[in-house]
Formats: sequence, C-alpha cells, structure tokens
Amino acid sequence: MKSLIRPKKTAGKEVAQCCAKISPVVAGCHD
Amino acid sequence: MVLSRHNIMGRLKGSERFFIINPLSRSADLLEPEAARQLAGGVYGNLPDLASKGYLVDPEEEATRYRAAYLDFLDARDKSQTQLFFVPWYSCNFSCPYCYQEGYGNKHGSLEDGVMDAFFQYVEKEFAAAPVYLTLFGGEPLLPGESARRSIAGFLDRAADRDLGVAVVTNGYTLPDYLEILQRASIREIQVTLDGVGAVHDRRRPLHDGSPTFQRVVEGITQSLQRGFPVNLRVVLDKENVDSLPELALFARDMGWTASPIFKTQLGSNYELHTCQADSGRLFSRVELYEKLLEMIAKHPEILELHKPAFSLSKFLWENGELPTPLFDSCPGCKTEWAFDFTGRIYACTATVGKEGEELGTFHPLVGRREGLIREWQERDVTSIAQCRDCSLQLACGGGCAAVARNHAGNLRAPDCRPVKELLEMGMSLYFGKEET
Repeated sequence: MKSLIRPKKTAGKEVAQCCAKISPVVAGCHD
Repeated sequence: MVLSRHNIMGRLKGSERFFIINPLSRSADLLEPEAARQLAGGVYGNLPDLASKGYLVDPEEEATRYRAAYLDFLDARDKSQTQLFFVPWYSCNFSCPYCYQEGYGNKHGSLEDGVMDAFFQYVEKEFAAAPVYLTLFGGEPLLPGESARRSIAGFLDRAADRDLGVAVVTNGYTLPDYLEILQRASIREIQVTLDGVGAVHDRRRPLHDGSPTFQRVVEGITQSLQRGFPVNLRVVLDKENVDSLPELALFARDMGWTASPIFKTQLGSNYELHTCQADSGRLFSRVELYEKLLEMIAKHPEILELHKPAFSLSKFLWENGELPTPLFDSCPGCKTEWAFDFTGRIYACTATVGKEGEELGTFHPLVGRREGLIREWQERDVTSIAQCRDCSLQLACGGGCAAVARNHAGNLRAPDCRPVKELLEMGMSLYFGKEET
C-alpha cells in the first residue's frame, strides 16, 4: 500500500492553489 | 469498524495494480493485487493505516465527518466568486452543425441601453455582498459591425465603472477587431474554440456562407496573448475530429501558445444537450472519449503539452499530491452561476439560457424571481438526490449537470452520473502508472 498524498511543504504551493481556485472556468460544466 | 461507504477501488487500466481513493477522508493509495484482494474480501489485518486513512471507519463517526465536510463545502461556496453570464444577443456569425442553441427562438434582437442599465442595477442590488465577475456569452458576443461593437463597448465601460472583471466566450473570428475595445475593462479570460487545424476546423466551424474561419481565429488567439489577455482554448471533440488532436497540439506548440503562462485549454465533448443531433453516431460517450484520449496520448504524448485531461480526480492528485475537498455539488446553477439575456430574462446557467421555459425570472422591465424554481436549483446536491445518497462515487461526481439530469429524468433532483470509476482507472494509469508500489 503506497500513499499518493504528499506531505505539505511550502507556503508557495498554498498560494498557487488559491490562485488556481479563482481562475474562472468559462462554460463547459455540462460537458 | 467497516469499510467506508466512500471508498472507490479500481484497477489501473492495463496494469495488475489497484488503487483505493476516499474523497471524504482525502486518502489515496496504490495497492498490490494481493492487498486489493484482501480488502475486497474483508481481510484487513495485514494492511496498515486503514483506519487512520479513513478506509476503515466507525459508520457513526464517518457520518459526523460527512456532515462537517458538507458544512465546510457550503461555507467555501458562499465565499467563492459568482459568475454572471450576460447574453447581448443570440445571433451568431458561425454555422456550426453541432450548436446546442440551434432551434432556440430569440435569434434576432439587439441590446438596448436600458436593458444593460437594468442588468447592472440588478447586479449591484442582488449581488452586493458577493464577489462576482461577468462573462459575455452568446450567440456570438463579438459580432462584426459597428452596432455590436458599440454595445459591447458600453457593456465593458459599465463593468469597468464598477470594477467588475469580464470574461468573454467567443468563436474568436472578430477578436483582432475587438482587442482595443476589450482593453476598456479588466479582462479575466477569453475562451476561444478551435476544433482542429485548417480544414478540420473550417468544416466544423464555418461562417454562415461556408467561408473558412481558422486563420482569423488563430490570429485572434495570438494577438490576445500578445496583449496579455489570458486565453482558454476550447476544443470540441467527437469521432469526426478527435484524430486530429495531435496535429492541433503540435500547432499550438509551434505557435508558442503552450509556452505562455496565460494560455490554458479545455476539451469539450460534442453531445446532445437539449435536442437530438442529426449525426449522433459521431458522438462519444464520456467513457469512449476518454478511452480514446488515453489511447492517443500513449502514441502522441505531445497531446499532454496542449492539455492534461482531468480523468476525474486523477490529475488533481498527481499535480497537487492531495485530493480536492469533497464535491457535494458539481452544478453551479443559481449558486455560483447565473445567466441573463438581452430580453431581460434570468436563467440558471449557460445550458439553459435562452431556452424557452427555462426562465427563472426577469430583471427588465420589471424585477421578478420565480423563487420556488430557484430554490429547486439551489437545493440540488448529492445530499438531496436520492440516487446519490448511497453512491460511493458521490463526492467525486457531485451529481453532474442539473440541466442534463432534468432532460433525462424530467426533474432536477436526478443525477447526471459521471463514470468516475472508469475515469479513475484510466487517469490513475496515465498519471501514476510508473509509480512504484
């Protein structure tokens, strides 16, 4: 059994994820 | 202790190895065949950490965690941005045979200043407390001609006056002519569709008179990126054009698009949203499309430079080293998405905007909302759809698209099931196939 969850490391990654969340997905949610 | 009702187990496609994922506990592991057999057979003794990872649970404790995660989901959604689509007209200069708006009424009509003012007043009043951004949608919002340009400029000026960001969904044909105007507002993103290179695109997305459009759309994308406008390239795929995807990937690389940090992509499928399509034999089911993509990626890895398919949770897990928060609802309609059109009507989303009978209210000439219908949309999630409640895939699927579900089942409280397990089997193979267990 091998976990695919990586330990959290840097604050930089958190910022990147936050940015990703506010990036709009324009249409296509019914694809 | 029992196995969690949210465990999703499957086999990596083309491999003897297995995976187990739990979207509630946000655990994910690769399993050797023997371990997978033990788990499936209810033998847990030799497997460490099953309880700490949430694969083995006390059902009551898990129900408590489920409720807490649901409240967190609602809280996060309340704080997230709401996308307000605005349709200035349903007219379009393209004649795509697969258009889902074909057959809609309201094709002709123009945007009056009074309607635009009423829209912005409605936004200011109804969404005063929420962070919102606007998205121009159609038809084709960037139609050629001075009258259309004046209307769009007026819309962008009103958005800029209120510090509202704007995204645009366009076929891209007139983009070069609109770039100056678009600079009047804060442009978040321009979505443009290319269905292939050259003749492949032109056959599927011609002007009304059959003229080609590829070169103009390509110029529009390149010039948008040069101006610093983020571009979201959408590719609509079916059996007719899917084989040309590698060529499009190489073209996007040669154009320098894929190297741009403000260039992103989405693969859309061509499907029957409201009406049957004349040539439905060319449509893929979701599983078929992604099976085809997986097969093509093995032969043409350059596709991944253009687009890395999500394959349900697989890509997120691979890119982030964690699972996303549980998805209690995948439909944003009437929650974080609304749609408005030039006739003054209000709709739930892009799938329903402009379709007769789907109106949820008006913002002009009078403001009125059909609160009962709106509540139905707002209350739809995996906790309210009976078929979702006992489904182990619910927190990865989110219940799918409400408009599609209602078209199939006749009511909103029905699922539009996503083939989560099959997608994970493909995606885990693609992204984790080389991981050692």
